[in-house]
Amino acid sequence: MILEPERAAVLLAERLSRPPAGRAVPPAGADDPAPPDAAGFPVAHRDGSEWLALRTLEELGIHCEANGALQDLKGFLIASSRGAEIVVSDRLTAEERLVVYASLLAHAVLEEAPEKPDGLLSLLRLPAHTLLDEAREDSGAFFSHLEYVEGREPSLRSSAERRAEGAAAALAQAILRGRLDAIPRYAYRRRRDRSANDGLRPAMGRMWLELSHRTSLALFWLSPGYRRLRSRPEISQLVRALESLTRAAYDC
Amino acid sequence: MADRDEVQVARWSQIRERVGECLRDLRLGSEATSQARLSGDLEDLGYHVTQSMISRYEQGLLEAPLTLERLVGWALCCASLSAPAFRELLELAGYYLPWSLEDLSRFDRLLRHYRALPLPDQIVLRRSLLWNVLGLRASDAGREEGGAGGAGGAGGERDGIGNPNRPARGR
Repeated sequence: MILEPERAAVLLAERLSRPPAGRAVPPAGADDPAPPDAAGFPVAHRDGSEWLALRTLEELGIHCEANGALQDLKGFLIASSRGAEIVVSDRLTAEERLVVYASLLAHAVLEEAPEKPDGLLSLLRLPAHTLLDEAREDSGAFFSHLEYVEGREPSLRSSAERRAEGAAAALAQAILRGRLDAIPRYAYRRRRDRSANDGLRPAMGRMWLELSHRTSLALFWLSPGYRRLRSRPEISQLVRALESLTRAAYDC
Repeated sequence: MADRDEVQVARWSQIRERVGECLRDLRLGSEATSQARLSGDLEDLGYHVTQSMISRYEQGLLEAPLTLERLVGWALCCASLSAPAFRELLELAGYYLPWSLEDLSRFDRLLRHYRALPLPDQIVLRRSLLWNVLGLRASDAGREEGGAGGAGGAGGERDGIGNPNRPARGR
């Protein structure tokens, strides 16, 4: 898949975390009654953050377009080896479009299961893997997600879909706030950290961190309460401190 | 048909009945679609295909093979991209799509999933999907209209097809 959702999520979160003063929005022409731009986006409703998100996505090769015909959909994402495209309703405000971009991106990130652990942990069937649909592990060729207008969603949703929706909403919020540290690492980073340090002690440390991150992901996936707790700044700081402590203690 | 040689005509005569059968199989596949509905769906997608043309296609009465774009459009409207009949059609016509069966099944699942959406949403989504299957983009359309053929457009029936890449896409 050409779409690199992890990279897009990290880059977008990083850019959105910058102060708004740093964002430049090209002004519409003075004598121009703000027509839509080439991709159909209503220029008059531009906002710095939405413009920044749009440019970031385009920069990563995700073609974005606004469309006036959508009724029940706020937007959708179609990605394949031929390219990625986001279409959003031009009836949405800039802020709403920004939320749709983040949500579509979050679903794309969560589509792929995290890389499997190695070492002793590889012998266990970890909850984080069992929670994700195994069929998704071979994904990469085609991905699509439809973002519905509130109240127009399909009435019948499986519990797995509802869980995915909750996790994606939390990830989308973290992207919008520019605070990916407010969610478990494996929720947005699907590859494991590599370490150059060999030996039993670093291996034990890595195993402990791996287990912690994956347990955190499992709880994040399952529990709305944990997602709320994990999003608090003091919890993020605590997690960072514990990880640093573990890395220092085990030299990993 | 002036630019079609004898061999082309002979080959088409050999395969057109089977092509017609495959097209009918696609339409009557997992979720049977009426000719009228298919005609409307193709029209929404940007092809001009009347109900009588569909009937003639299915009976193998046409004088020229269908283009890749039109075959894909047909299968897409019938949500039958992963059907064996579609693979056979591509093989008969000598076309190639760089998608695995799993990919095509995913396309079909999405197509069936969005049947519950209002028609305008379906049209926008279906057009995006068609473009993705064919590997085209809105920005490509302008260039293609200049003269060069579209992706895979190897068929002889270029006129009267109704360019699926029309600029009014979704706007």
